[in-house]
Amino acid sequence: MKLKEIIANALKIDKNIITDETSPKNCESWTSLNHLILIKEINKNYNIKLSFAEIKTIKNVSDIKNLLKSKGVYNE
Amino acid sequence: MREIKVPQINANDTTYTVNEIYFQNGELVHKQDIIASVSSSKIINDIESEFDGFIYFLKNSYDEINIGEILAYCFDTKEEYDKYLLTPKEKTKQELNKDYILTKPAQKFAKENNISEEQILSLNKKIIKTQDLQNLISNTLNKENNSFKKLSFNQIQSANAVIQSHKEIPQAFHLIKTDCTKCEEFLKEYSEKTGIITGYSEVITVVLSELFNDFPQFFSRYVNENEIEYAPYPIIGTTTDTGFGLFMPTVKCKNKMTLEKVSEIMFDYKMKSMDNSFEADDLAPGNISISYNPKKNIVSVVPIVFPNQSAMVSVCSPVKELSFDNDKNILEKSFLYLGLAFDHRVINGFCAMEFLSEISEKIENVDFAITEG
Repeated sequence: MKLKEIIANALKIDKNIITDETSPKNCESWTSLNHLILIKEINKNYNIKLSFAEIKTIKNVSDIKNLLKSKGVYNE
Repeated sequence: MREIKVPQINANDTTYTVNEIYFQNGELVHKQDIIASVSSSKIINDIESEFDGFIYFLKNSYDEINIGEILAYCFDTKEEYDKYLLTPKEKTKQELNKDYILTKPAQKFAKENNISEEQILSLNKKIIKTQDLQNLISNTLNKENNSFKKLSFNQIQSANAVIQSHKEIPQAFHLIKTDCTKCEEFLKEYSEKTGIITGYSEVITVVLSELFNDFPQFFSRYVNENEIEYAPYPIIGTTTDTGFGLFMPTVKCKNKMTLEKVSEIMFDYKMKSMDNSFEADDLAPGNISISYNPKKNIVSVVPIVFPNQSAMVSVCSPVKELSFDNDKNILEKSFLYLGLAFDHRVINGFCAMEFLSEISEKIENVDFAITEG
């Protein structure tokens, strides 16, 4: 599953409205619970286990991409 | 002959179900051998033998077993084991049940309505009257009409804890209204700045850990009418529900806690709650609990006090209300309704108010440790 689809499913939003700037600040359904679901789905789909220190760096979609790139599991 | 008892595994549960037994009666077991597994509403746990010896189980698979009840005996020698088997045992529950008395009108009613002995035994009563048999027939008819539904295992386990609490603990409840406007702003800023998504469950965990030294009785355990037992350090149970079941993992506050540290622990628990990957230590019993109820528009809940604890704090989502400032201007503020259920044998009402006021003030003023240093 592509990253946008993972985010759309976890946050229950249309994947076409997701941009790099999408964040809990501008996306109402990016709640604390959906944030947990998003992390769980990322871990599952990319076969990784993000640490709390890594999760803390996620403030928007761009941060997720950068994090996955740094772990070598994501290409644009 | 030594006893192997079932320890408390999860604070919420009073009864477990024997899942599997790994040895035959009379087999030789060694210390730390896993002899059986028991399941609670949340977790399956292995039971280890505490001794070397020959095992004799008092329970079978699928039997219910209470915390502290004997699961098995362990005998030092085979001779001791054999001697035990030859000792006359007490009557089993089923045998005892047969000692019932059926009143004369009930005997006639049973005959007229073809009620079997098995059905009469299922009433589990000493003296059985016609009314009991009428109820039995009525219940059987309701079952046949499908109006009876079996309760889930989780509900039965929760009910056991609730029944025990209501039976043993004379509980009182206080409620306080807390202005959390400043704390709301703080949590929003904190989350944006640090990327740590946190909330009142975490805040109250830190606050409670900071009040431990001044209010030790709220973390204590009722022993008898003259004594309570103080806890060495706070172990705080927090409700965690991410839609995959309600769990009560505990935050062990041996050292000074901060919001950052508690948020990390709670984040891990929330992740574990999504695939029920808790370890036994995560769900170890606490000495105080927090009931967190984030559903919108729920203002307050009255929780139970868990057996072996003396208090539970309850918190719901903040509610927005219009309020006056000092110059009588109207402004929008956020309020929390904080509840405190407590064991009235251990804590008096005045103390409870003091404790609740302290929690409230710390939240109002954002007066709790946030990060190290």
